[in-house]
Amino acid sequence: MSMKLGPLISGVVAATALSAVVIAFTTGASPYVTIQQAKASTGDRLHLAGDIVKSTVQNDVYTQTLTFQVIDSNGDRIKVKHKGEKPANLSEATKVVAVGKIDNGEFQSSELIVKCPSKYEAEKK
Amino acid sequence: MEHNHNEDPFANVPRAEAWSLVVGQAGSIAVYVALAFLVLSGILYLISGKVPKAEKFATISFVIGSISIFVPFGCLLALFIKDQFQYEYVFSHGDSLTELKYKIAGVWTAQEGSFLLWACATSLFGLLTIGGSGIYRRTYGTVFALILGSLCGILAYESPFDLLKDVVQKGEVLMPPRGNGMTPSLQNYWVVIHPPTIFLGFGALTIFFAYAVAAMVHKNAKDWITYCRPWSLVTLAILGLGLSMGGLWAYETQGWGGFWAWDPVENVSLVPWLLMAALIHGIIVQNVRGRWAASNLIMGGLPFLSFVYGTFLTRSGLLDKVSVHSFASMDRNALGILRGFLIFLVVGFIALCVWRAKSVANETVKSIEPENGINRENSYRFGMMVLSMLGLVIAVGMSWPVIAALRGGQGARVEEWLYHQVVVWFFIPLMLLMGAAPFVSWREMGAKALFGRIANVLSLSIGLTGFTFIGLMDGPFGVRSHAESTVRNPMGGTWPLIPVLGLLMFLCWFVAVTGGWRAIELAKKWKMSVGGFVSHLGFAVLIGGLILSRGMEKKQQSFVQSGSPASALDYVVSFKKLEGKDLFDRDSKAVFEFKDPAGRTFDATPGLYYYEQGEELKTQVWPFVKSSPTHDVYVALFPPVTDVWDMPKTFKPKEKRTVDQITVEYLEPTSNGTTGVGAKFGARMRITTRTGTFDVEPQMQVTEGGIQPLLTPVGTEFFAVLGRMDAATRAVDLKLMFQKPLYPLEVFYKPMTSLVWVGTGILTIGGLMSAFARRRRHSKAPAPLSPVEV
Repeated sequence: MSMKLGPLISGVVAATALSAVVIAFTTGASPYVTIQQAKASTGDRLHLAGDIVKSTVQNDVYTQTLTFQVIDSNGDRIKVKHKGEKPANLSEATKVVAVGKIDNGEFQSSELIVKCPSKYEAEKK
Repeated sequence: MEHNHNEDPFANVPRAEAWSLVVGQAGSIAVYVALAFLVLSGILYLISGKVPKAEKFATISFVIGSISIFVPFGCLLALFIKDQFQYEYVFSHGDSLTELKYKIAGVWTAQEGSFLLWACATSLFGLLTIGGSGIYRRTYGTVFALILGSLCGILAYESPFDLLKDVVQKGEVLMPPRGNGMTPSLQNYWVVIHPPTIFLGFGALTIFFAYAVAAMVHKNAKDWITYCRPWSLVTLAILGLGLSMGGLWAYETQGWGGFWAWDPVENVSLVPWLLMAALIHGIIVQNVRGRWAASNLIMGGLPFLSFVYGTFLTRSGLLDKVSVHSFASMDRNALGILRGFLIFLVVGFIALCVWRAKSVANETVKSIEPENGINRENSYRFGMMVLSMLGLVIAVGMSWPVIAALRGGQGARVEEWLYHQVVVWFFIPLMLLMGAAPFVSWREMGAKALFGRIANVLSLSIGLTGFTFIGLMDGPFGVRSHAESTVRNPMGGTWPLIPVLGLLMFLCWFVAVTGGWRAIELAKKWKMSVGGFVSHLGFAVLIGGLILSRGMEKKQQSFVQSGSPASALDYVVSFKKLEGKDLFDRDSKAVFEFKDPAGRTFDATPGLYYYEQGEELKTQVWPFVKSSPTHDVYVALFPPVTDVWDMPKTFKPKEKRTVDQITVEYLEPTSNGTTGVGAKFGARMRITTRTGTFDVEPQMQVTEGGIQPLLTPVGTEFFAVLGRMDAATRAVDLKLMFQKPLYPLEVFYKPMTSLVWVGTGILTIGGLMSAFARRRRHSKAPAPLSPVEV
């Protein structure tokens, strides 16, 4: 084995690994979308971020479905329907990231990531 | 920030006492004082190369500046403890009714305070290390003072000492009697101990950066290694402990039943830990073989730089959408300083490394000719590479939202499954190296010789993996119950779970057995390096716990109502009672009985209490964890449900409609004839539920205080409540409520979570043991340059 083989192998392995990771992230990462983009997309792990319209929150206990409207950064509104486990402390949440897909003009969410206002403070001047 | 103002002049509102305004002023001023002394210290250190006398004054100035950073901390603490709500920061995060420990923790619950904590931790390590910086003091002091000064600059803008808006009236400062209080979800003991621990670790990272720079400036790549070796071990131990505490905090309070979510803020602390671990192994190689001096100079700076980068990334608002740890948008000037600081440090450090690292290393460190083939140095090289790559990959992952956004669109997020998929390819070689390298000698050895040394450990590990799985074979969360479970694989398909877990468990056992084996061997000889192997053992135990508890997790959601038990996993769950003084008591619990198929029972008591925020009544729930050595039963309670339909439904007279399996027929409106106070309006209705058909007449009554609805039972399941009656059409809004609230529960089996606690303990003890063993002894001879077995 020649003396420089170690570092050489290391370099090649490192470069290969890093490219593989970048490819994995590029193809695998879940995209953030606006409502407009979501409606044009067929992905099933779309991340839709927005403000919860508090007055529209409905929790149907027989069907275990949570529905509410979300306003995104463009000011668009969409109805989000969430089936399955509900995030704890939803009542505290003001912002939400709904993960899921578009179905019949509604956003079918399989996972809700809520943002608690704890660390949201007044906007600084 | 909203708070109520009456038009009434503030006659009844207490005035802030004079001392409190002095304390706040003192806190603000101390930041500037610290800044001034640190800048002075930096300049004096800088010129002390030409004017040696200046060094003494530089050090004095450094000490005064560093100590001054603790003044704002002390002031803020005093304001919190004494409930001085005229300060915006104290108002937002403190409350007079909370316990003392939460008043103390209030200091660091938000942005300003966490920068202050970082600054204090950094200055603490500055004070501890400046005296021992020897030949490097001039540059070490300059760099340290510059970094501390920049933190003061940020604090000058991100000041926690601003008064509330409008609190000053006619020259007097009003004092609101209560503050908003710390968010209920933060209020538990972890908020008291986790942030100070992890920030202590972050503060220590400055040491290695400052030494690496100083080593290059002073053209001595040798001694800094000795100077910072014990600190590197302390730092790794503290950071590791802080990381584990963060995971345990999430587990005990967040309700999603896990330790690690690959949240950007978590990753920001993991990356420096990985890079520190790499640096520590580089230091060993330089100590023993005199090699890698150049790469160590570079590695020395990376943990700190990665942390500053991560801080910038998470505080800049760039990741707002992604993180559960959302911070307020930072003050623009402060963010500007942070950005400038980051760019200056990174560019400066890279330039210095390109210019000096190689030449300084070659000139000052005598290296031993490298050995070929399998040897300790090559193992460490691969190990360090894997650790650094892992750090890099995680840093890229957490930056991905920004990277993806630069490529167009709103960005994208790397989720847990993708992290797992990527990280495992680094984890496998890392664990193989951790298992094998401790048996590899510094001198070249053949593959056969290596195998001879590790054969015992290898077969023991395989055997123990088998035993683990036999031990976990049966039972509700056992291997058999996971026969159908799968995990995603990189090709887009799935792999069966159990073989994948088997491989991962073997790797953990391999590292654990090697760690334990070597630790015992060395302990018998009273060797110093025993702590390192104890840490390896602890790491393997911790990771093993994380993998088993996540991989073999089982969960089920269920709804429990008083009197109607429900099943969750293998348990029959019944609601027993609410415990506590009243609903607003922070110690209130909901008590559920869990009965397993064998008839054994235990009570689960998740926390549940209500609090008011503005006009709204909110619920705070805490998970309940029943721990045993083999598994945790984790019970997450969600806010109880009282409304059948969240929104009232409108019915017209004669209308018959079925909503969610409940049929309502509005027969006719009723009234008792009177008008004014005492008048009642009602609606005769026929309501058909799962339990039967009921004729009911929910009513509203006109009272002094307005129109009040009356609760009308519908069978034994619901109450009917009228919300509103249209005067013209007689249409009514009907609301149905459960007579007994519905408790949504999520129940988890989390196998072997005990290992996470045990592993954290062993890891920390091992780290502190090695730090103690490597503490600097001033009489110590220079590091040996001959091949030594460690």
